[in-house]
Amino acid sequence: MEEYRAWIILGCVAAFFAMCIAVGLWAMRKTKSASDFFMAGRDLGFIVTAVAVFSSTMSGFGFVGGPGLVYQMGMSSAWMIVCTGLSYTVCFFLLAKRLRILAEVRESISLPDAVQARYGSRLAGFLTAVAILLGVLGYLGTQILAMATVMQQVLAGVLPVEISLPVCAFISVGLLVFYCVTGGIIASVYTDLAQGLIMMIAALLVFFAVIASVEGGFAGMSETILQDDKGAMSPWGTKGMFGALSWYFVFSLGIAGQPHVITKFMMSRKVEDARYTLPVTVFGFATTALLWLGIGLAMRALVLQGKHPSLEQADGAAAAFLQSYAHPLLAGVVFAGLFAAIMSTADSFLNIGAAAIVHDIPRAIRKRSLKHELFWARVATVAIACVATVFALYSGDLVALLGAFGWGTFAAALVPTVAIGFNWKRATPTAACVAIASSLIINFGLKVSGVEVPYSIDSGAIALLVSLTLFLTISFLSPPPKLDSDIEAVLDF
Amino acid sequence: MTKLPAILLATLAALWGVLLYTVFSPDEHYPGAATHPEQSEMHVAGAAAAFDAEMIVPGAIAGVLVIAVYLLCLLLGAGKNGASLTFVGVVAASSCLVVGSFLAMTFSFDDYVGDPSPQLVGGFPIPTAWMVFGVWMSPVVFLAVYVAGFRRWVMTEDDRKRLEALIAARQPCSETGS
Repeated sequence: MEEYRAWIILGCVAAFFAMCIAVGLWAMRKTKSASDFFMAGRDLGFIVTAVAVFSSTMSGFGFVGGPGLVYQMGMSSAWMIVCTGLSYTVCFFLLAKRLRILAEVRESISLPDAVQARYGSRLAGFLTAVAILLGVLGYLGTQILAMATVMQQVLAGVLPVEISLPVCAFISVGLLVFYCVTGGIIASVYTDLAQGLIMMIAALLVFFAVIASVEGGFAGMSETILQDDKGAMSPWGTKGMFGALSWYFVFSLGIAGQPHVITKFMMSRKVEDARYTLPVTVFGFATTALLWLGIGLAMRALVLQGKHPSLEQADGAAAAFLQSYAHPLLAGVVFAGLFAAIMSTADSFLNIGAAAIVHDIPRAIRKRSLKHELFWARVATVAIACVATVFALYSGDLVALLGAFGWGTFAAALVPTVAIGFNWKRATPTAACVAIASSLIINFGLKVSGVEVPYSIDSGAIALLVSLTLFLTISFLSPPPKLDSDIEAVLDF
Repeated sequence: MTKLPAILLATLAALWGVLLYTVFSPDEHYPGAATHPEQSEMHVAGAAAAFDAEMIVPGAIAGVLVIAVYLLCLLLGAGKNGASLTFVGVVAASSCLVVGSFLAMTFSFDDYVGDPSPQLVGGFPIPTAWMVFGVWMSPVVFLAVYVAGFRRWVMTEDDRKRLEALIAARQPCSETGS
């Protein structure tokens, strides 16, 4: 990489980091209680909520892993994007109103809090918190590893010596922890706002660069790819029909089980904001997804045409494109966008992880929260970040295992328990506990044992299918639960 | 609306049926993706594409069932406000667009696999164009239903009044939950 290009990229990334620090300091003055720290005082406007929802969904995986998957498998991973219009709408119908109402009626400050209130079961709340904490460690670990790797690439272009991965992790996690500790979820969502906007701008600009990079634009890419392998350019890609459909299933319905996404519904200023939050969310996600598809297809076509050398790793598709085909300033914006994508997800995970440790698990075990909850929330945020960093750097395959296990586990554990259970009075606490436990067992079991599901079907989809079936069946077979009158009223909305 | 969870369970059972039928079909040996002969980081579908074309009917049924699961969840989420015939009619009409796009994509895949020089529409082969411009774009009608029908089907004036009454009589979580 030319040195001036590297300096421009570093400048953009440094400007982005400075913005995160400024937001952290500003948010610190607004964070006076645990409710502010975890729920932003339930005072977020619809634009902030919408951008926080989509930018938490589109993690570093979308900006790095997404183009890599398209490069590797053709159109298969497009199913993770294609589902968004329907999935966000279904998610809003299921949860945006009821979660917000429940949060206000019961003054819940986390998802396990809401689950405990809905089912009147401390075990259900505890299991939700445990599932969240396990997923958080894995997800956060992979995000930290991604941040450190990108930081190392950025610094390699300007420094004469290579900076080690642990040092890069220390720098990037230090920044993340600074604004998460000082400003809690308020800092998180307002940095998400800036991060989401950067991601959208970056994705739009890259999309035009993509079209210009291959002769004939998308038609040129399609012709090159399908001449090499028709299946790759078909709707199923190389994963095949059932594999692609399993992604459609787990990624579309699964959004309603992602705690870092749906918790945002509890933070909006008023229920009616959901009306405007949904279109902004869908538009934002669809825009950023252009980068995912565009870079992946362009790099596959360019390599097949012999115009670009073969990639050593599929995940290098985005970086290779930016370094070779994008204007340095655009590359700088996209690298900042990449940090934005990673951090906007990581900060949400830090926050819900801290809530699980200082609020949800103590409440489930001791029936009450910790004293000085705000102080302990800040301590827990630092502790989780440290554990996740060590875990990411030194646990080997375990972090990748937990990271991969994140989306499917959340989907299988929380779609029945939260998305269905908050819309169906007949759902029982036993069914909720079984759904959560089964999701953990199936996801971990399949990953650890290395069992391949036939037809490349995603193991998360199987876990979701099992947990939904168990949840509905057990609820039907159990006696109807007795609900508190206010919970019954919430479910009547 | 009270029957929706039972219908959802039946739909999931049907999905299980299709999956088990596919996995345990004795004559089918799915070839799976292979590594590209020249690019180690790329996969190719190869013979798996032709296999998918042969399994198009179970695939189409599975896809329609998956969409049915979403739509049932959407109706479940709409709750009592969504019990009106108008809402169900609007959702049913919108569903036809999504399901229609999905089926058009699925069945055009069969022709695509057999066609030596596939035609491109909007920069993509026909089945992929159905996916991008049909399956991806068509759910925008549901989004429109949510936005345009918010006051009628999501949060009505009556809901607002009930919520205000509920908040006035609320019970803080520290005093409740077992």
